[in-house]
Amino acid sequence: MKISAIVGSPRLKGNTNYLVDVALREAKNLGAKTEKVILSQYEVNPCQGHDNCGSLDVCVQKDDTGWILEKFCEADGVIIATPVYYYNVSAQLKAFIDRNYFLYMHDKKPQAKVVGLIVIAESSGIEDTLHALNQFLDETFAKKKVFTVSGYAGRCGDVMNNDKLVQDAKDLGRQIVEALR
Amino acid sequence: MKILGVVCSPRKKGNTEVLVKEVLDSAHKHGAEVEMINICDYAIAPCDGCESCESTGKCKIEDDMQGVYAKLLEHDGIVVGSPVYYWGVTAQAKAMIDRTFVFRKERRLRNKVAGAVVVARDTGSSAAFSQLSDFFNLHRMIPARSIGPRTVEELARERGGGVIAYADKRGEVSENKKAMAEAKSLGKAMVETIQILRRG
Repeated sequence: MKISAIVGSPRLKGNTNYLVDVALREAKNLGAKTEKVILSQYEVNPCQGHDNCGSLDVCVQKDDTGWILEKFCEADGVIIATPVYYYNVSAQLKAFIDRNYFLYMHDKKPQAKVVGLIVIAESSGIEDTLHALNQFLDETFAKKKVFTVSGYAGRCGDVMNNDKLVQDAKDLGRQIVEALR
Repeated sequence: MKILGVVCSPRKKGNTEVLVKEVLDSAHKHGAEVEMINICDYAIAPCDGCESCESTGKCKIEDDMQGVYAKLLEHDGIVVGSPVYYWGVTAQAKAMIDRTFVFRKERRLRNKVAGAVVVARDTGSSAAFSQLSDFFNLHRMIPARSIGPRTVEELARERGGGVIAYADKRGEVSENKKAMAEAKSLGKAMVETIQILRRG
């Protein structure tokens, strides 16, 4: 059982990353293989919108998106995590989402049956962000069960003092593993 | 009076560009100086969340966004146009939006007049339009409003604060009378709103 996390936060020690680590640690303790891709550490460029990808075998952009999408497609369970920037996902995650268009044009669906969402805002915008992410999931996955963790945290590491959110993230890791069994 | 058009579509001469240009042509006709840029011609890294701008008032990322910051500040009105990708604005638009965090604390875009242009193939236009409206509101910008006299017919052809259109093939929106009328109306409304603000 393999669980891959795609993280849209550029802060390596931020609240979003912290909660992803909590969820993945729990999943690992329960026997899953886990991995985490922090998008900002790689080159994931925006979609160029030429709309020819249906006739191409590979995306014309030679950046890191190709192998990240492969991992995304092969995992049994995925976690998608983002901080809220301007009432929506980060630009880093939006670039990754837009690049999924290549899969869409090839009618290729990720095989994951379970998806975890982690969305952290400083003060607002969680609902809009979850709406955007759920639209993306509905378009992209064939059939999936979705578990969601969301809450508020501002400064780096604030979430460590939020026992409920940390527990929610741990529960998310367990729920994904149990749903995949 | 200066109005900036910011096209956030990677497709050149696409529908978003056609509509933003129509907004600017109309604004120009009503007395504004206008400039159009395509954000995809600029290398703009996403915000890295360092928040150092909160104490320095500057963004430490030295890329093309520095030039875009100057343009945003020097104009009285800004119309942002984006196609809808996955129920939202493009990643290119989102990178620019996130990078304007540097202006938030001092509200440096406050009272600039805003216009939104959104083009969808089929769905997601309202989510993307809201995204741009939220962006303007967070900066305390003022959505363009048709303030001067209008006929009932003209009022029917405007959408408050922006344009929403449906199109697919490159440039085909220029044949869409309703969308083009909305764009014209937005350009005029931007000029009027800036005039009212200047009068105080």
